[in-house]
Amino acid sequence: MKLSAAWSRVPHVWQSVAAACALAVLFAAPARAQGGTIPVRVVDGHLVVSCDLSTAANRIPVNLFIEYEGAHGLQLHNRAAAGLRAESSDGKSAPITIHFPDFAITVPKRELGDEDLFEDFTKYHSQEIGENALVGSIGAEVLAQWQVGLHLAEGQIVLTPLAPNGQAPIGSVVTFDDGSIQVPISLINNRVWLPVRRPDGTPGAMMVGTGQYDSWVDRGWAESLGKPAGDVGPVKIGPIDLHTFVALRPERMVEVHPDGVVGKVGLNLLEHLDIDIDRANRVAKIQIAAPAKFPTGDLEFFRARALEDAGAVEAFLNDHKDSRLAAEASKLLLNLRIDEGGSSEEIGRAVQWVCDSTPKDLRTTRMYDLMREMSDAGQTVVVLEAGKLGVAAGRDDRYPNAVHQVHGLLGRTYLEDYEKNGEHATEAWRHLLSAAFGLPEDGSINLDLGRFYEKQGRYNRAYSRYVQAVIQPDSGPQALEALQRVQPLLDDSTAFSVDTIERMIAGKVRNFGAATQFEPSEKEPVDRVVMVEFFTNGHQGDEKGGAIGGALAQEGLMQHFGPEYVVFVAHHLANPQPDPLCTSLARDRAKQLGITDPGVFVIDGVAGAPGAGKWRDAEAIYQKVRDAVVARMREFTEFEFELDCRLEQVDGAWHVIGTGDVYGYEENGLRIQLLVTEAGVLAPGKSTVVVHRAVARGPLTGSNEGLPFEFDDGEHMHLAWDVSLDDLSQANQAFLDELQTTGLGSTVRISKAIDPHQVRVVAYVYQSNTGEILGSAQVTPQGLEQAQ
Amino acid sequence: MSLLIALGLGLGLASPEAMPGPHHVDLSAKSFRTWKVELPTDAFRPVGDGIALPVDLGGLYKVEVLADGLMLDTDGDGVVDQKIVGTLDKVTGERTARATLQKMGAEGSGPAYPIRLQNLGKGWTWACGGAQVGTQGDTKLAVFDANGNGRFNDVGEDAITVGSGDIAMLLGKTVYVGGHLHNLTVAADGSSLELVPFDGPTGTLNLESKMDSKGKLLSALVVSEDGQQCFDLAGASAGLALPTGTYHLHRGRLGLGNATVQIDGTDMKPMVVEAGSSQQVAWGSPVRAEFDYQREGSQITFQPDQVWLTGAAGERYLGWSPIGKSPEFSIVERNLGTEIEKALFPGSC
Repeated sequence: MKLSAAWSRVPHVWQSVAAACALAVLFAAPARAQGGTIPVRVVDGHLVVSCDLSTAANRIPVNLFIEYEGAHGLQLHNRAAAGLRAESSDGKSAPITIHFPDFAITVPKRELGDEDLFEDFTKYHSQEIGENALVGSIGAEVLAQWQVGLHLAEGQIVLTPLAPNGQAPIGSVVTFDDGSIQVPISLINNRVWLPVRRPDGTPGAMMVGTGQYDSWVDRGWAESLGKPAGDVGPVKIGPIDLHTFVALRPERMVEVHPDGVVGKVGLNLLEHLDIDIDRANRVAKIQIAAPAKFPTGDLEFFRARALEDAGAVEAFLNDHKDSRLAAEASKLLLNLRIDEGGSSEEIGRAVQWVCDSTPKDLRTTRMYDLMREMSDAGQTVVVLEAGKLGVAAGRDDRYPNAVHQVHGLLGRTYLEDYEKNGEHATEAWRHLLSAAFGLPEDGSINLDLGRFYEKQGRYNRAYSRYVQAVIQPDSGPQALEALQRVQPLLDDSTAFSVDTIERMIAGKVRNFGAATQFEPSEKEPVDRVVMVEFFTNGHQGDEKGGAIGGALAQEGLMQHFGPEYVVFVAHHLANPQPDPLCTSLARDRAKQLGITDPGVFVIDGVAGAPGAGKWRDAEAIYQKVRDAVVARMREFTEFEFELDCRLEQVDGAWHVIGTGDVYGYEENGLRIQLLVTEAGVLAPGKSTVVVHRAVARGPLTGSNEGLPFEFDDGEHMHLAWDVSLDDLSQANQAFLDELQTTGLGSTVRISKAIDPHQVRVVAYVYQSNTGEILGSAQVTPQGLEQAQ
Repeated sequence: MSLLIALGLGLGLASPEAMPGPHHVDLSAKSFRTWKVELPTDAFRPVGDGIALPVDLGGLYKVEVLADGLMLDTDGDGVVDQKIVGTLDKVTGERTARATLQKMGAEGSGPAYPIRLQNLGKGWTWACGGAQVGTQGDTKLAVFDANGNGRFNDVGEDAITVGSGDIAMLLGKTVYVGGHLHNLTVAADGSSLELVPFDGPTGTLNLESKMDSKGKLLSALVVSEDGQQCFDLAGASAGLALPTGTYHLHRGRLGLGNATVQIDGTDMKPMVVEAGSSQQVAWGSPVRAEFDYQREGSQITFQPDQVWLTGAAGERYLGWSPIGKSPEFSIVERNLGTEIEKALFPGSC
């Protein structure tokens, strides 16, 4: 149903129909107090307040930005909102109270802000802001309810209740004896604008903001004056020339004002000027709080930046090593050097600048971030240079793992040189070993160490490292290939198999075992073999929850129910992203059953149970499926299967060959399907499930829907099959190609071949209209000795 | 003043002494470490088995997908040589990276071709990561291989920025540079472009002056029906003289401070520009809202992605950013009109 709404949505203030806007409701009446003083600090160009947030559920200490010009009320990171229970499960918002030292403000709901910004700020400024994370921002929708005194020279903001005096707003600047001035303000889009005179005397407007340190001049206007560095000349509020206090930073102003947008007042001006803004009476009082001292270094940086010339930026850095803009200049220098394809020396110098301009306790972290980027870009020299700087600063870094990560990436870079050119073996080994010492479970580091040992022919050590790597999602697929490569080279070599790997990783991965084995009883009779289909995906969730919960439960169920009672089939779907075991068979069977997402057990096509969850939920999932299976076992089936199946090599390729007779009854819509499943397949993924069990690999009937169930002689249906495992494998690869070309996603290609001695054959009769399975059976083909 | 600013922002600063022309502009390859350009079309495409770049760059740059990244053949010799891991967003699981492709042949290294790579959860995709850049007078010009075929002269498919702005237009047969309309020809390999004064019939189209909004129009790309012309009319308060033809709004963007919204012109009427004509398009407010809801028993569910906002000229407003603002839903008793319940989307929507 589609209805026309009676309102116009105006989530941001630029649409003109505001009367019906939700914002009016949202922010018209936050809980009032008598106001008070908010102690604030300037941290890396942001105005920060430490305060508490509370709801009826919880109270947490936090840091927040104060952005006077921000078009929001209270922005809050999702994690903080979750801790406060800021929203109920049905989506309703809880009021949130912001507790300042001597008063509090309550807002009706939070908004989601720039979480990356909040997280990065916390990461890089944890010392300045203390133990509490920066989780959000207070914006104009909250502050507009108050008279606001911006007294940054004293480190405070003063909020007092609005008090309209009933008089007409003043029309011009008033100068007082103490040198302070009073100016009329305009309110556009809920932002406060001060009247200014441009250098030629024409009027303009400057917005008041606390979101950035620098005061801005509109870049378009500055460029039109031929002053791309922002040195436009005097910009005056009454007698106060702003340009004597700060170098205006040219930036694009995405704002509108009828007098024309000149720029924005930033924190650097507010460190010199106290501004008391009285919205109710449309007036602001401005007092010089600190004398003007023009920052020539700032202007020089803006000039170098406007030139977009790396040489000019580097010259600025050489002249202003300790400038507050040195960090920004260093980043810009690196950008420009990379963009212009600078030499390794030039880029190396830029990296050194970036390192030098980073706080000492973050240099290793910063260098590691840079190394990763440069590694992707193939800038090996820069990776090594940044790595050396990162290692040197490692002891001082506030993040203890950073130096190990740097060692790991340095080791890999040297390893690649060793593999390609036979050089730097010692460096590779030394750095990788240092990394492994600090991060012993890191998959990539173990994988790289394995590669090193393999290159040296030390296969037992290599194998051991690869086993460590195979259980980690990021390194698992490559480690699997490496294990297959190295296994035959071991001193006491046994054939590579799922079973071998499973023994090696036992104890390193999660497992779940059933306490008992199922035995039929009067209470739990068996009148049929039940088929349990597990729809899953190797990338669903992570090590804590997702496919892992279902996979562990399946493991327990397979231990509990022997194949004479339950037939297990796992189908891998392409959500959330394809994994190497996805098949068109899985897609079509899911469609028959109306399943769209993985994480489901289906019992004989008629009952369902959750197939995903936290790993610790495995027992609960196991119990639910078990109960459903036992209930289904009581339902008598008339279908019986006599299957004779063997594995045979034909022209070097393994074939599944067999015959079968199936008894039961004929009915419209009945079909029979024969599948090849693999008892265990190695396919490590994000879910951290390494060994996938009873994986459906393809049909033996030539069709994902199977064949019509029709008697040959009035009492049974006879079947015969001869299918190459290679053909099934190729069909699966073609399906993964199809997923890739149709944009549904790509996956690493591992475990492509079907291991003959893991092969099982499953047969079932089902009703195509409902998907219900009426009878099923499983056999293990003969001829495995030959396969082994 | 406003038109001058507009020209400065979107069309390149006017430098009348340097115009008209013809002009030959040499272009050189430039990568962007930090990508800020908004291309007019979605440029990302699956990497598949490799990145195919015809012309002089060579054939297929082979790709092998890894669990934590991919291996890339950066020099086109058929052997993967560079591991790309990218930056992982731990919240979304998305990875982004950049790399540079280079042809290596008997004659040495060929032109560099920077690319961006991303994996948003459905496999790796790639797009151009650089441009061919040059200047005409004080005006910067950057041409992008937006369709990723290795050529830079595909009119209606590749893209161009003029001036210091970050919003690219589709590459057209004409372009405003220095306040003058020129015929534009770009070399297929992106090594140069030619500007010749346009002397065909024009009419004026204005999307700025009657845009009823409290925000700032950041871009308004109009494309001719034949796909051969594209102009950004944002900031041109007196309108722009365009080659005659029928135009439609390809896409636009409206902003205020850090907040932006995308404008989709699919349902807007075509705009016919006749020789000597002048027209102003009224759009923006009032904005009409439509929505779907689901009712189950006594529970009614509203979805943020099932609210559609349409402007006065039929334009759609999409992708509000930042999120956290909500319309207010009022449920009223049918006969009496009394309000039963109010609903707002939570702050995370």
